[in-house]
Amino acid sequence: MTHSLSRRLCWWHFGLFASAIAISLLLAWREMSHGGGEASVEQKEPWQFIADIALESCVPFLLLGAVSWWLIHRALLPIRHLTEAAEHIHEDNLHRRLPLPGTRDELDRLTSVLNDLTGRMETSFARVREFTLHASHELKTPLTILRSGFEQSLIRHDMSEPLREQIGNWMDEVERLNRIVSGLTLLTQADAGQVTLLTEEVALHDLMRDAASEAEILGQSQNLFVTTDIKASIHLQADRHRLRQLLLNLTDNAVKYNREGGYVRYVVRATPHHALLSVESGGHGIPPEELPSIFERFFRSSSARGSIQDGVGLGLSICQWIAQAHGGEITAASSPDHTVLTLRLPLRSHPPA
Amino acid sequence: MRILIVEDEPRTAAGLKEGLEAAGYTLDVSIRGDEAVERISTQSYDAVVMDIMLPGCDGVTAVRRLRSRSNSTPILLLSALGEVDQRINGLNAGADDYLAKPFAMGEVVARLQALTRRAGDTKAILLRVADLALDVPHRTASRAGRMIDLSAREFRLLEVLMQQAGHVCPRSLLLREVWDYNFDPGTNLVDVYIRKLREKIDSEGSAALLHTIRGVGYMMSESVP
Repeated sequence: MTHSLSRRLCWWHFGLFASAIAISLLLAWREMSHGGGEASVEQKEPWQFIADIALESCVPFLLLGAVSWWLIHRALLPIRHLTEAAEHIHEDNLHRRLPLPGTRDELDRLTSVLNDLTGRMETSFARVREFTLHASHELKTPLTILRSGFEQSLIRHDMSEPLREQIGNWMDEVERLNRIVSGLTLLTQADAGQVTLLTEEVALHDLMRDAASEAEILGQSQNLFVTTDIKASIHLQADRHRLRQLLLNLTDNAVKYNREGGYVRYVVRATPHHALLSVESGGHGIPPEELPSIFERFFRSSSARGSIQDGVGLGLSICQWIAQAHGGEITAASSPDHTVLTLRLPLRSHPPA
Repeated sequence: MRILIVEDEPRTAAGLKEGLEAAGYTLDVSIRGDEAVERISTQSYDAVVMDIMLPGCDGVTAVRRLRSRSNSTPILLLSALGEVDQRINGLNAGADDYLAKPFAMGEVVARLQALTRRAGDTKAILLRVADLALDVPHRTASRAGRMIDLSAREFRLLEVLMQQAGHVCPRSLLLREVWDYNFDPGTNLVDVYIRKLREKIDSEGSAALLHTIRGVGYMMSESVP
């Protein structure tokens, strides 16, 4: 902290003491020059007299300075505690309240104002979540009806080919809508902490090999060169389905945004505390200004815009949630012809609070 | 085979009824949970398709009541709430299977078939569609006597398609049965595999057996759908 309130208060106090001493010195000087010397037995030079006073006032000056520093420090301690506690409040733990210092002063008041504020934020966050959940739930009934209606029509034999094609296209859109709604439901439930992981022992290197074999199949038409580099065999407690979902999503992206004859490389490494799973791919790369936002919901790369995409813009957000639910994270790095997405999982599973 | 649909949303119920009637089932529809419990206790149904959110009493409670009366009619729960927790709740209460809305009709049919398969029924070990034969225990496939070389995935895919021969297999069913994905990954994985499989089994000169039903799924059938 470059600007500290306590330091500023200390300087003010020092200033105050220093001016008090200066005033007392001035007063002493005046007394001297008005013939105070007659009373004294030993004649002293005026400067000696002042030096004595200065020395004598030095002790209380330092003493007072130390006491004032200590007092200020003590007085501001609750504010420091309050700041530290407030720093730990995030979107996911808005239910937390700051402890009241119990001093019945401005600090108590500030704390309760902050608590009210987080309380109100919690309510509005919960309201948004509830709204999204209700909205996606309400959308599912019409989607079910649309889907079964289209299915029944598509199974019928007495339909002209152009009409069948048209209904097929509408059905694709229904499926897309369905994926958006399911993705939104999942993420909203995850935000509200309503999704539990079903953990079991998972062999990460096997999951990566599976993903690689799927990349090979998916990338066949583009002649992609798929390799695996398993530097460590890692077993840990995790939700197998969710991790497969994550890896398939990364694989799908690696294939979709690749180029003809490009490559996809799967690397498994371990550090003392983490498992690192990377999916590297050649291809268009992600522009540096877009890198920080690729995990945001409904994010679309500017290069993908305009082209026909069957994605819904929630895939990487779901991947990031899966990683975080396992106490890990996904990071991305990219140059114009090389992109790496790395999943980092803690080897000792400790679920986030 | 007689099935009871318990669904209070009339259009969803109508869609289910139409789809299941087309698959050859006889259907009754009930719109209240408590009424359904009485009907299932007093009449015999081969299986029940039940929504979770119902007037009277919810689907999970209805299942619990039936099971406490030692009624073991197979029950497939449907829910718009989706996700794992609901699935676990339903299955813990004693339901036999769970399907999230919006579902593909082929999924409902496939799951009902699985639920109503009698305990004595064993899965066929030799599957046949026209001149295509699949020997499950020996992991071999042949068309008109010519052996076909299949990867493990392709074999499993063909097995599922042949078990459901004559019925449409939606992608969600194939993803679950072949890849063990219980979510829609939004990739064209199934389509790519189907293309490869089709190249191997429907080679030139022989009649096509693996058909694509646009927007619905895939079907093994001798006749063109």
